[in-house]
Amino acid sequence: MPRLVYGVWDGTVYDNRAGGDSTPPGLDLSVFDDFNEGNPARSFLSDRGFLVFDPELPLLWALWKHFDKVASESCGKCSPCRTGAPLLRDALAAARDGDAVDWQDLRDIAAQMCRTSLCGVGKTGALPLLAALTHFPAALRPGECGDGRGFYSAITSPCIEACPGLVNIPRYIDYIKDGHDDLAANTVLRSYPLVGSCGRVCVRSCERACRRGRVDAPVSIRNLKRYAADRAIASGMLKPQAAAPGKEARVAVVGAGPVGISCAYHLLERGYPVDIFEAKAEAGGMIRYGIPIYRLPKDTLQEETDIVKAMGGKFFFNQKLGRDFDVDELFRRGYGAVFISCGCPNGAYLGMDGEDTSLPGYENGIEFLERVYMGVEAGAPPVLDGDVVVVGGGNVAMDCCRAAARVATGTTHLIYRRTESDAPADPEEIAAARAEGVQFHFLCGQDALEVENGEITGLRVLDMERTEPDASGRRGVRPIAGSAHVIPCRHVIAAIGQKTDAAMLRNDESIERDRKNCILINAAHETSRKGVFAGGDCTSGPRASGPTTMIMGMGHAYFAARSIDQFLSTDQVPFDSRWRLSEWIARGRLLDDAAPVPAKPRQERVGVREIAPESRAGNFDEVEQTMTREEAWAEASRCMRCYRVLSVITRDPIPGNPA
Amino acid sequence: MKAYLNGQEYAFEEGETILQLARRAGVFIPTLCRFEPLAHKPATCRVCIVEVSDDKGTRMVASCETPLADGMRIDTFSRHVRDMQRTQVEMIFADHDQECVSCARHGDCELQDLGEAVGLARNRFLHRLRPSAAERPLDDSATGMTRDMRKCIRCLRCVEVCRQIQGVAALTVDGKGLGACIGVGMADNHGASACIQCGQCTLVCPTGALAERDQNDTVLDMLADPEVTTVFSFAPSVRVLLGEEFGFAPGVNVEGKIVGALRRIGADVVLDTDFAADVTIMEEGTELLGRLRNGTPGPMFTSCCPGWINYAEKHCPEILPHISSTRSPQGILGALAKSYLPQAMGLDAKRLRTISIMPCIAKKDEAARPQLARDGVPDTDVVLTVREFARLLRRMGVDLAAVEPEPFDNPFMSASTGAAVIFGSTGGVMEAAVRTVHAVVTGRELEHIEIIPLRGMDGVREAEIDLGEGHGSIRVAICHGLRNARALAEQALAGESPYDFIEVMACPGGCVDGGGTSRVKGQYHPHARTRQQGLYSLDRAMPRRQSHNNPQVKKLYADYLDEPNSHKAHELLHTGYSDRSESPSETILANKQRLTLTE
Repeated sequence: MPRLVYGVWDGTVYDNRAGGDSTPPGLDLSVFDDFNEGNPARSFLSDRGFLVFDPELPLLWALWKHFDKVASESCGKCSPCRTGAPLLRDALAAARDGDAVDWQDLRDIAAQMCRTSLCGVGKTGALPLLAALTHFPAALRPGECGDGRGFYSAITSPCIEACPGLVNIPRYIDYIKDGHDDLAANTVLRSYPLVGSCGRVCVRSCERACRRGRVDAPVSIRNLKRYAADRAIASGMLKPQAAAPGKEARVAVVGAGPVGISCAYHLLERGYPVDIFEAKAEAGGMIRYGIPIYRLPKDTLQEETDIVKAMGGKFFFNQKLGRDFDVDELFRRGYGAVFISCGCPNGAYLGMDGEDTSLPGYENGIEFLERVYMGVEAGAPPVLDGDVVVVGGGNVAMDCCRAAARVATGTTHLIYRRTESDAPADPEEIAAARAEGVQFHFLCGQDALEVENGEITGLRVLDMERTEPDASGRRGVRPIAGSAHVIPCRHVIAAIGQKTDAAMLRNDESIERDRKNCILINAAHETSRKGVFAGGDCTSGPRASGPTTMIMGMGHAYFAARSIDQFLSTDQVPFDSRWRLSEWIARGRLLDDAAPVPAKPRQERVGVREIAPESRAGNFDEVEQTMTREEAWAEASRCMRCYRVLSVITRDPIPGNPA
Repeated sequence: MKAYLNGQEYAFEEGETILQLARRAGVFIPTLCRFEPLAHKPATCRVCIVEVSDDKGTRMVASCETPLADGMRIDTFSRHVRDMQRTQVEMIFADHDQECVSCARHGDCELQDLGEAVGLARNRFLHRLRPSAAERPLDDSATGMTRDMRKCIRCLRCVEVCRQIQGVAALTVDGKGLGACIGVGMADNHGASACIQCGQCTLVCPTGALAERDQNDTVLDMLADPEVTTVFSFAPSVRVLLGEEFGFAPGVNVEGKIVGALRRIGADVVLDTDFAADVTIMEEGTELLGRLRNGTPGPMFTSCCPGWINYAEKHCPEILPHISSTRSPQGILGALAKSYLPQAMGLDAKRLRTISIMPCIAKKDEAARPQLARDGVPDTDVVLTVREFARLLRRMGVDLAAVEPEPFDNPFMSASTGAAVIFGSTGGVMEAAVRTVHAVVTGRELEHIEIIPLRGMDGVREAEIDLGEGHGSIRVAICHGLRNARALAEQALAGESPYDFIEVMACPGGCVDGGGTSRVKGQYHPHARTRQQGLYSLDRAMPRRQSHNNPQVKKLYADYLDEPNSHKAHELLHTGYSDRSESPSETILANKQRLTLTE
């Protein structure tokens, strides 16, 4: 654990230069251990202050480097930051070089910037400088520091850190507000090509982190993303193009689901020839076959997977890993690296005593959703005769019950063994399912299928009750004795989970897997076999644990592509500064979520226009409509741009980090 | 709930901001970006900062965006607060081009007022940032306007008016840091952009960042050239607008003084655009009747407003077949001044230069349309806005107040009617058209020629005009502000328009509130009704109130054009439109180069 020499954190001064080891309470300094392996931090600067771990650090230089980044991030709309930032940057550069500066002037500007700026950049960017000017003026001496490669700085915000894809959310919202729908969409395109798809189906952890929620309601981030995609990508304002070739090494991507598509996109953009092998006949994976069309129209998806084709990516369909080829075969064909993202294509059954999975009317959610998709695409959606019971509490269960409600002749029920608030499904999905007539039974667990003459007649269920909290505070559920009763139905759909295909790596035991057959990966998405990387639902590792969300998959693809690029171009151990910084932020809770939000006048969150629930039965028309320009401008103006700049200074150069 | 403003207790309702309370209490807090008439409060200038103390401590906040809280203490006036407000203004000036003397807003600048309000005596930061300010674009590619971003203070009022009032949304916010300024989307420059040059943004810009392109020197050159015959004319609305620039109350008719002033500065021929407005009615009314007779799918839209024409061509080209082919009054005047007039007066047409004084910036763009030129020579050589013309008079030492009124005297193209005069207001073109269409169809004048449902300021107004037995009736509508025009155009394109004839004026209120009219700092169209009433009073005072009764118009047809919509009239007085809509597109990669974001 590094020793804090001096610094200011959350307004409190710490000075151990003459001995002592006072540290900010609640701040785990071990977070600031080596940035990359063997490269200790000398200093950390952020909106909360600055920490110096190396007494020899030229503080003025550090502040200048940090502030240079702040100034480059100033959007230029509000006066104190627009003019204050460059004035301070230039003054600090002069002082660093030993020129005389008017320190009082500098303090005035820094105070003006911190105290009167509009958004996070201005409000917090000059805080370390102001703290140093106030408490450690004598430490501000001219001097340089190495070649500058031991410096890394990034701008982030609570919503960005909450996004597994680290999409620069305030930036694209601002672009919408500024009238640049093209640039807004392109901001997301930096992270993944499936902008409109993600804009429709994302689980939006960003919105849960959004600080606007503490003023009135979170910014409708996902819908803004969808708006940008619909305006700029679907309309043809932004056109895909052939990627500039340049790299010799070829990459094989196994699985054309969202993760494979996205990884291929990033690699193509970097100039690698990419071939994509897909077990099914079309690209899109789970978001094609698993997300119902009323949530994600497949022409939207097709346009976005076609981006990869336009960039020169070659698709090989009906090619299944473990059946048609294996990893050795890929290397024999001359690929320099392999990325595996073949997902969890198999649905789980309920696993009740003596259940017969071949029974007509009993199927798992993955099969059901695919059957519905194929039917709708062919113009003949399946019809479920009679009542239906869907079992599960996640988003797949919601997709199943909402799809069932559209095609069943009877009533659709959903049972979930825990409470509604325990259900992992998006509350908006639950509300939509209710509006479409789905009957919910919470604290209700499955017990056995009722079968007569080889046909399902009902599902026997048990009422559940919550147990007292255990040592960790979690409450479980247990069946209530004597509560068994039957929900009559003709169909039971199990939507309780999905699994990898055990056959995928049967010829390659050198790629390690966990007990659920998920491929083990490290933070750089490397598997145990050199040159083989993996991501998405089929992986397990520091940021992966089997079936996951689309946006988590987008994060996997982004960072995996960067690792593959580093592997192929430098043969170094891949290291990603941005990912590492996020790890620091998460471990140290460095963004200070408790910081008060500014008082603002209330401004209503713009609602989504939808097809009326009574018009949804029997069809798979897209339910949610895109925002109008006016709605998008209004919604975008609710963003408070809670940006912060974070900088780390290390002893040695940081890999992949130019001076 | 109670709050304390400079020690004084005030009750307030939830949601009220500090600035609202201060305004209510009569306490002055300087502001800049805020623009009340459009409820625009971007909170970017940060000039309205005050100090508040409450249970969370003491801090500076922008009063415009901070709601009051119970028990809050607010200080707007201490030395400390005033110093910080002044520093803010110093910072704004630090990155503002200060060639004040050459600025379009010289002497009429909201930023200068602000400097005075905070007591700005010197600027510590001035020369440190000026080079960066100079790197922002000065874009004079548009025919009617200049976009001088060296003067932009990022209040974003222009963006708001372009979106909220016009629905055009041509203006964007570009760049970052000191380079941040108002841009024109994906277009290469202003001239090539989606902007329709209505100029409403120039009415709200607090500085000279968005302004009319000043063409006074061109006019001065013409006046100074003995070989040139200058032919001046001014639009119907100008006679109730120009006075404001010289201390007259809004809406006062200064027609005679303008004629006098034009003669003072050396105009060779002074014509009245009113005359051409009457010709417009003859042509457009006849065109309407022809369309109705031929069963051409309606409705027909008016064509006099160049902001509307630009909008239709750039943003709604499907509607172009519905737009009347009749030229605007300016287009008609220019054409006749270079054909009919030289013949009638024995002038050398090649030496004629037509100078049109308009309440409008888009008229500058109209004059430059290739469709309105003959053999490469524009029918209208120069268009001056009301603001520019006032500047021209001041440059030539003419104080309108001191000028003796003089009457028009041109025997061919200066007679007017009440119908022509009301062209300057929303609803006026339609009312004038109805007066004539009724007479043409029925052979008698309308009994009540003031058509009240067509007057006023509602965004869309309509009326049904009974044309008497055997002729049925026509349904007409009026809209102003392009957001309203868009709605009526979409209705028409969907085949659901109940109307036969629709008048469109791009600027809310019509020409009396055009982009080239006098600005009032911090206000938006405050004199709309007074200016409009000025025109309606003028109409009432006219001896002739219908276009077809204009004696010079009758003479024109008798001597020169034969009849409305004749072959010759079509050649001279009608025009065509072209689809100029562009769906901008770019490759993802090329577009990515313009992203201003880092990791």
